[in-house]
Amino acid sequence: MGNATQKLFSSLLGKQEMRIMMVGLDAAGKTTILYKLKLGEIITTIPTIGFNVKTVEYKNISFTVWDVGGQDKNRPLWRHYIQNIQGLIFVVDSNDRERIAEAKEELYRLISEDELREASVLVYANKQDLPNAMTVAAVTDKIGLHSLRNREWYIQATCATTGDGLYEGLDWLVCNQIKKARN
Amino acid sequence: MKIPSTEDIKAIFKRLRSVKTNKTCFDCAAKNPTWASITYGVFLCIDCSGVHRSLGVHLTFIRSVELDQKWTWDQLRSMQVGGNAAARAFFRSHGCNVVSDDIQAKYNSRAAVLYRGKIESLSAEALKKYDASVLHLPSNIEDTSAKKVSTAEEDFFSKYTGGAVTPTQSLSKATKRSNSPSQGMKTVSSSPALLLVDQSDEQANGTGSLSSKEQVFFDKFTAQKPLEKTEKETPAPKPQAAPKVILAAPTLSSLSSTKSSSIITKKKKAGASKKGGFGAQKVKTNFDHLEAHAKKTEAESKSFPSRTPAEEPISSRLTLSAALTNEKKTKHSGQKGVVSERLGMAGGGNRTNVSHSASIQTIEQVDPNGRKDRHFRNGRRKNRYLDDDFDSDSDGNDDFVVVKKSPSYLHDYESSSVDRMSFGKKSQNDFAPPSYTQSTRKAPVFPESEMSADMKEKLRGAKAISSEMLHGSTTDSDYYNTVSWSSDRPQARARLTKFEGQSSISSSDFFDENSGSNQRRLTSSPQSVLSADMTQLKEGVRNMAGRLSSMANDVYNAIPVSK
Repeated sequence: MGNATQKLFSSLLGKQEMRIMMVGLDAAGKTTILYKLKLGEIITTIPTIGFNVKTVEYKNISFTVWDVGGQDKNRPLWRHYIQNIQGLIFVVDSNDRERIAEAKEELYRLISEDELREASVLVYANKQDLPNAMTVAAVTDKIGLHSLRNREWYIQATCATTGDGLYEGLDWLVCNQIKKARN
Repeated sequence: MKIPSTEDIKAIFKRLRSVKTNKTCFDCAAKNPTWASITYGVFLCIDCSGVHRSLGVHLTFIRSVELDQKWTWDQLRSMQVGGNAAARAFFRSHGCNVVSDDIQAKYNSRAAVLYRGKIESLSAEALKKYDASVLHLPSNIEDTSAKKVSTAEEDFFSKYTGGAVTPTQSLSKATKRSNSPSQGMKTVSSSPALLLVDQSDEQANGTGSLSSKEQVFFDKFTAQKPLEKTEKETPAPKPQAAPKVILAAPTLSSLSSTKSSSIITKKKKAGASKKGGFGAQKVKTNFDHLEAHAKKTEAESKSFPSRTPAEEPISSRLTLSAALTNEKKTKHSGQKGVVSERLGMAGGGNRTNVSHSASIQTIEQVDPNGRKDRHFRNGRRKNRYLDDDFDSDSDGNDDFVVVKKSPSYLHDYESSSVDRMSFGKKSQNDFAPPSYTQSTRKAPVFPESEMSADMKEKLRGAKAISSEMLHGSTTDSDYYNTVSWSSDRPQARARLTKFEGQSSISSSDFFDENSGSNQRRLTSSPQSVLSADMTQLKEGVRNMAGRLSSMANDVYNAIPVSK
């Protein structure tokens, strides 16, 4: 009886899991986003040496989000985190026009990895609150998402400090995951 | 430009970080900082770098000395012309608290804006001059010179405090007390050279314009100016200058002429446009000081209408008569006018020095936008204009600062961002695989096409865009092969209006509407999320129902067992 009840509850409340890797150039706001999702508040971050990993519950799905440092030396390490990744969050600093090309480079290098063939790509066009931030369309253009055809992607304007857009992005990941599961 | 090799970068930083002042964090004085703000050319600890990063790259761009490898020459030069000592001196001289808790305010301050521009122009200059050919900049430009400059600054003070600053102070005191002219003169005469120069200057001033003799002298002087090594703070008097001063004030002794001419040299340096050193800025602090006195004196002299005639010229010099102001307006265009006027003051010793700064400040206010912006934009701003800024800054004219700062900054950023955008576009066009030092890393494979104008237009107001929105469902491969964006322009235009104002666009939305015949179309984005939620919910309910029934079975089975 007790066993059965437990079973019932675990099956009712059982959570889907999703492994997410969050990457992007340094100072794009990855760690800030991670802690905003996890704690709902803004913490003062320092540059990530190595990685942070947090589990975020949203819509009955537990997202295990790996936030990997973005400095030059960290970037070759990204591909060591991509095993069993179902979703890739790529964070772009919309205010950094100078390095958007570099971001593009890194994105395409990463998604050309075999392990990420199936992963959906969610791009956060972050720091929308800054005065000269590029729009979503501009970022799409700059990082060439519009010509990325054989891949499911979604770009979302976000502001990590207010939390705007973060959950909308996760919504898409969830939808996409469900769609994939159905197919 | 070629990319600096890892060894080059290492060597440059080894040298830069061996400078003592670079061994502590610029913001918090923590030991051995390994992060750098390229915008200001300063070294920071990791904690402060975190705060910097939160400000945004338009204010300060952070890189790691150890973790970032792809430094460009541009960035390296910024670090070389910068340095903690120079930045600290600059911030301090502009009344900005260097070790401040409010980093946000610190880097939004006017001093920060000015220093940013300064570093930018200096590094651009260094880059132009040395390209990538020289690893280390000459030590007088590099940060190691900062110490030298600061000692030069002290020298300057110690050397001229007695002769230069004190008379002004005593003079202003005399004016304040509204004493008899003789007493005022007596005070001044502690420095005979200055007195004499002042007298001669008053004579010149009495006519309202400069004598032609003087004009010639000034012209000659300016002709010499480029010969001076601006980086070097050489207090030695110019041999040609001394006799000219004597010309203007024939009673000068040789000693006093030496002194006054060296002062002139100093002042010339302060006003002159410089190549790389911080000498101008250092001297500036002295001017600020003097200017404060000038203000005070001016206020005092106004409050005492019954001035003695002997004081009249002095105070009028100090306030800088309005008549001169008009002339000043043409100053930017007429180089000769600049020279003569500025030197007219320079020749007059300290009080004229004061009025010199005051006049420049006036110009700043009269002519706020066009000129300086252009200089900002070019990134080649002459230090002369920087100096102008400093003057107006030290004046404490706050609302001027506020009004002025934001537009020039925005303008600057806007234009530079346009440049960068065009650059980005270019690189997008060639899609050349980036050269990588690390051969182990895969070269990125870029998609070929560029976003069409239509598409850009369509997506303008979007807050989010997805692959489905643009290309259709990726699982449905034949679908987006048949329906291509470009073949569908009129319809796309029509659809555009639909996406306008939406915060997100999904490719499924986009392509669904694109092909009316497609049976597997997905709903447009807000609905798609909704419908996905609904399906999720449905599935959940179905699941739950199944589980419930199975549980009921379990329970049903369990009961007989327990009985």
